[in-house]
This record gives sequence, C-alpha cells and structure tokens, in this order.
Amino acid sequence: MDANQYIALAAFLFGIGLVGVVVKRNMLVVFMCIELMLNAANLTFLAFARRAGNMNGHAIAFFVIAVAAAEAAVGLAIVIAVFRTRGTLNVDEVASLRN
Amino acid sequence: MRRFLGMVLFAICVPLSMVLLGRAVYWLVAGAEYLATSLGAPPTYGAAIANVILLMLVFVMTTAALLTIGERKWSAMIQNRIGPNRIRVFGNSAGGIFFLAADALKMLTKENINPSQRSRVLYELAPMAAFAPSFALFAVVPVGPAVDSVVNGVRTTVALQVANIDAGLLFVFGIASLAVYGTALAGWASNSKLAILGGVRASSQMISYEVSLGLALVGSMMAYQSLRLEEMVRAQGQLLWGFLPALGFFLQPVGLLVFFVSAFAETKRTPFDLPEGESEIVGYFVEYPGMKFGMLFLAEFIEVVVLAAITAAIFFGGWHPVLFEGWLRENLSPIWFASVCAGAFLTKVLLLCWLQLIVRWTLPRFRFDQIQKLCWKVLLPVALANVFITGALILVDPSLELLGLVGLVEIAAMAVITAAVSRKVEVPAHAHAAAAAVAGH
Amino acid sequence: MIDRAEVWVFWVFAVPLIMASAGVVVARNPVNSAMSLVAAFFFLAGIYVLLTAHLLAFLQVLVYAGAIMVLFLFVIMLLTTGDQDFERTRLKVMQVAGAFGAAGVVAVVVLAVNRLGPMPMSAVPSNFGTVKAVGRLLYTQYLLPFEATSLLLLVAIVGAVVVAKQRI
Repeated sequence: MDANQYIALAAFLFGIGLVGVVVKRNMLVVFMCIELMLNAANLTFLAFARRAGNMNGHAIAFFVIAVAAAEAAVGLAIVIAVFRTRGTLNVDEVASLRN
Repeated sequence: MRRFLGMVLFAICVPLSMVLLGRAVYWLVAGAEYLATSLGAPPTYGAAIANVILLMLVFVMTTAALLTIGERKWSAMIQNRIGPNRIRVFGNSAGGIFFLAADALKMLTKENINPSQRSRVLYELAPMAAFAPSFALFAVVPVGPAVDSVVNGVRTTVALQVANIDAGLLFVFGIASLAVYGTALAGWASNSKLAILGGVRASSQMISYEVSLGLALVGSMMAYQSLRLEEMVRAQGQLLWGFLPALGFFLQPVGLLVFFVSAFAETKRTPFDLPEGESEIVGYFVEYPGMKFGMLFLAEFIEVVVLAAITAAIFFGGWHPVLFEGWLRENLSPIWFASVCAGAFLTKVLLLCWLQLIVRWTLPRFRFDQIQKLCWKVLLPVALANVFITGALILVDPSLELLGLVGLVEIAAMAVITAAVSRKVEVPAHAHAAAAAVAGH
Repeated sequence: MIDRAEVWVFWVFAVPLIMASAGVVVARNPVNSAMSLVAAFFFLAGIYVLLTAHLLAFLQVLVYAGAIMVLFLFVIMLLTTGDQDFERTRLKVMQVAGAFGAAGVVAVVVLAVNRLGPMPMSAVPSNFGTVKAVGRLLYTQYLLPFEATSLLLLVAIVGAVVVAKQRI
C-alpha cells in the first residue's frame, strides 16, 4: 500500500481542522480543531517515516504530542482566565485587543 | 471449630479449583487452535478468540458478578451482620448466591425511565464507555505461561493471554485513562445537578491519579527492562541471592503502594468514592435506570478484578507459583505445571480482590481536598523519588540484588512505621455483647 | 493477501476517522465535539498501528484521548453553563470562506501528492516503531530536543498554574 492514501487522509483531516478554526466561535472547539490539525501533521510524519523506513518521523511525532500536551495545559488555563474576566467563550466577543 | 474447618477447607478448595479451571482453559484454547488449523487459519487466531471468550468474558465477568455478592457478604461479616440470606432454594441460602440471579432479573425488568432533558446519544453511550475499557485492559494480562505443543500437526504454543503487545504497559495506561469518559459523560448527559457534580469530581480525581499510576510502574519497567507484561512476569522468576524470587513486591514495595492506591482511586471505591458519595450527591449514575445502571455498577467490579490482575502480574509474580516452583516444574508434566501456574495466578487475583473488599469496608471516605492533596503532595513525589532511586540502584547493580536489599529495607521500614503509628482503640466489653445481640447471634 | 487486508483495514479506520473529525466541526454542543474528537483520535491510533508506529499509537491514545481530551471535557463541564448558542453570531461570509479555503488546501495537497506518483512503502525491520527502537532514537540522536521538551512541560505546568489561579 502506498503512502499516498495516508497523505491524502492527513490533508482531509487538516482541512476539516482548518474549517473548524475558521467557522466555529466557541473558543474550546476552535482549540480542539487546532489539535486535529496537529494530528494531521503527525500522520504525515508517520506516513513518510514508514515510507522512508527510518524512525526520525516517529521522534518528531513524539515531540509534537509532548508539545500538544503543554499547549493544551497552557491554552486551557488561558481559556479559564478569559472566561473569568469576560464571562464568555465566544471568540468574537473577546476582541478588545483589536480596537 | 466447625467454622474454622470450613475456612480451611475453603482455603484449600479455592486454589485447587483454580488449577482445574486453568487446566480446562488450556484444554479449550488448544481445542480452539485445533479448530482454527482445521479451517486453514493460523492456530493463533483460534487461541486469541478462545482467550477473549474464556478469560475476558467468562472469568472476568463471572468474578465481577460474584464479587457483587461477595462484597455484600463480606461487608456483613465486617459489620457483624448476617448479610443477604432471604432468597433460599430448598431452604438453603448458599451464601446469598441466588441474589445474583435476583439482581440480574430486577435490573433487566425494571421500567426504563430516562430524564427528558438528557443528551440522547451520550446518555446511551456512557454506560458502554464505562464498561468497555475495563474489559479491554484484561487483554494484555498473562494468565498462564505459554506451553509448546503440536496441534493438528502444526507446532505452536498454547498461551493464556489474549495479546502479547510490545508496549503492554502503555496499553494499560492508555486504556485505563479512557475509563473516565464513562463516568464524566454519565454525569454530564443526565442533565442533573447531582450527576454532573459526580462527573466533574470523577474526571478531576481520575486525571490526577493517572499521573501517579503511571509513574508508580516506571520502576518496575526499569527493573524488568520490558513493557511486555509477559516478559515482566517471566523476569520475576529469577532468584536473588539464589533463594528470594525477584517479585515486584520485594523490588518495588513503594511502587506497589503508590500503584495500588492510585488504581484504587481509579476504581472509585470507598476511600475515594467522592464521585458516588451516596450520602451527599448519590453519584454520576443517579439518573440511570435498570440495566444501564447495572452496567455502570458492574464496571466498578470489573475494574476491581482487572486491577487485581495487573497488580498480581506486575508485583506478585504473575503466574509464578512462588512456593515449591522448582519442585513443581520437575515433577509435573508441562501442561499440568502450566495449569498450576494459571491456578496460582487466578488465586492471587482472588486474594487481591478480597484485599480490596477489606479496604473498601474499613476506611472512611476522604474529603475532596484530602484526595487531591494525597495525590499531588504525597503519591506523586513518592513515585518520582521511587523512579530516581530505582534507576540509580539498577545503574549501580544491574543484577537487581541491591534493589532487592533496599526493597526489603523499605518493607521493614513501612512495617515499623505502621506499627508505630497505629493506635490501640479500647473497645468496651459490653459493646461486643450489644452488637452480637443486635445481629442476632 | 496481506496487502489487500491492509487496504481494507485502512478504510475501516479512515472512513470513521473522517466522519468523527467532521463531527467535531458539525456538532453544536462542545461536549459532542469533544467526544467526536476522542473517537477521531482513537481511529487515528488505528491508522498509526497500520503504519507500524506502535509506540506512537499507544501514546496517541494515552496522551490525546486519555489526558488532553479529559482536560478539555473537564473545562467544558466547568465553563459551559446553560444554553450558549455560539453559532448564531457567526458570520456566513466567514463560514463560506473557511470551507472554500480548506477545500483549496486539501485540493492542493492531494494534487501535489498525486503529481508525485505512487510512493511505495519500503520494507522495514521487525523492530520498527517499537518502544525499544524509538526510545533508543530519542535518547541518542534526539537527546537535546527530548530534554528541551521536558523543560517545556515544566514551564507549561508553571504557566498554567500562574494563568489560571487568581491568587497564588
């Protein structure tokens, strides 16, 4: 089986995540869609690692997972802090830096 | 006297019947391999299917179901009551075993009352999400050693393990961490304040204890240099100084303590039963009727069995029948030796289940801040220190003997501390008499 | 035979994976989104196993499905009170633009991959993707990034506490 299918699958996942980030207004769901995009990137790493036959891609994917864990911890803390000061999770209403 | 004899008889009969059970399972797995080879499939396919059915469905399920009755009976003994004895067949209550059938009948025939504001899909999904992961955990537990045999002309091995996965312990952590969804979703989907309190408590408690659960086993991974449970069990057969088996109990007593406490918190049973808390919030399953509640309830007991199995495999030598192992190996045929091993493992599992029942009925419930404090301020630092010390000791002495020595010192220290801290409670003599009078004997 | 089975298993995991990840975007309720994402991660782990990345598959389930998503679920339960319909305020223009943009990205990637022609998998040793092999790689060649990651996690812990706690 070729690596093409895996790459195409990763592209689909990335696309779905991108749609979610642009379309969804709930901060938490936007965040989840970012995780989905990270996973799509991971899938390409692993697919190419399998194709090339060396495990460097595995190491990179490992780091992506670790960074995603750190990102989730800090990100959720920020979401909680924002909710506490603004009382909302809607990304459109949290735009005071813009004006 | 009659009671004492009965207990002795019980203590002899349980391991014996477990050995016979092991023999039967080996026989059936070999039969399944025969069937698979007759159909032209590799024999391992048949073994896998037979193991799933026999070990996971039959053994775990039956033990969990019997534990529901066992717990009632045992709690009655602890509280000086008689316990379930009302359902009699031919005038005999048989230790309350008929309550099993009665309970099942009750759960299955109850009216299905669902909260109208529930989140439909998740509400139905939650009991399954609680039930499935605890089952799946048993897949990597090696119940018995692999026996070489010739099935239908094909050289193969007959093993009592569903899957011998390379990253076995990671599988355990991963699947165990999925168990939280069942409770969290049950709490959320019921759309009830009490239920969601239970769900939130469950998720915060379980996500905290997962950390120390994982760290507690790192020492064992380093000592046995593998993540495969089967290899870890086999490594526990080696002898330290020529006589002491390298059980996890001796090498990693601190790891065992931290693991057992954390895993107990994951099962959400009494010292840690904040998510249920019958006397305050009833629990995440308040809104569940009939068999859906039954599944959430049974999931807890399955977790008890699986926790006992994993503890037995990693810390109590798995299928090694520690006593007289060399003699048994020499004097029994391979298949009977394997059966004795499987019987030893199953007996250990039952004993550890019993230990959990004792803990469940002797300790009071923690406060919530105490639960979090215990996890983050006690278990986690202890587990981290254990990892460092174990690593250093293995680095100094790869033959594990130094680690064993330190382990024995740790056991002695724990025993001394326990004896020094425990207080003697004076019970007035008339209290016994009053309790006996109330209980009716 | 084996190759054919691999194709079948791929589709068995890929189709639910796409459906579950679409569910993340389609679901109106954040809890449903989160559960879809958990399911997606699970199927993705299946795909990883198919790519003989066993360690990564288990880490995927352990870290993503078991830890990160539980954290998400916890925060959702904590913060989502009452009915907050976010999607009423969303802009139709952005919705359409997002869909088109994503479709464009997918199209470009798929076209590029197809232009490359088939990329056959190479034969891999039996220890490919196992704990021991990947672990050895992490502790030799990638030692510095590995240690840097541990530092990052420490910083993240401290940062999360500082940000989320009102009074320290």
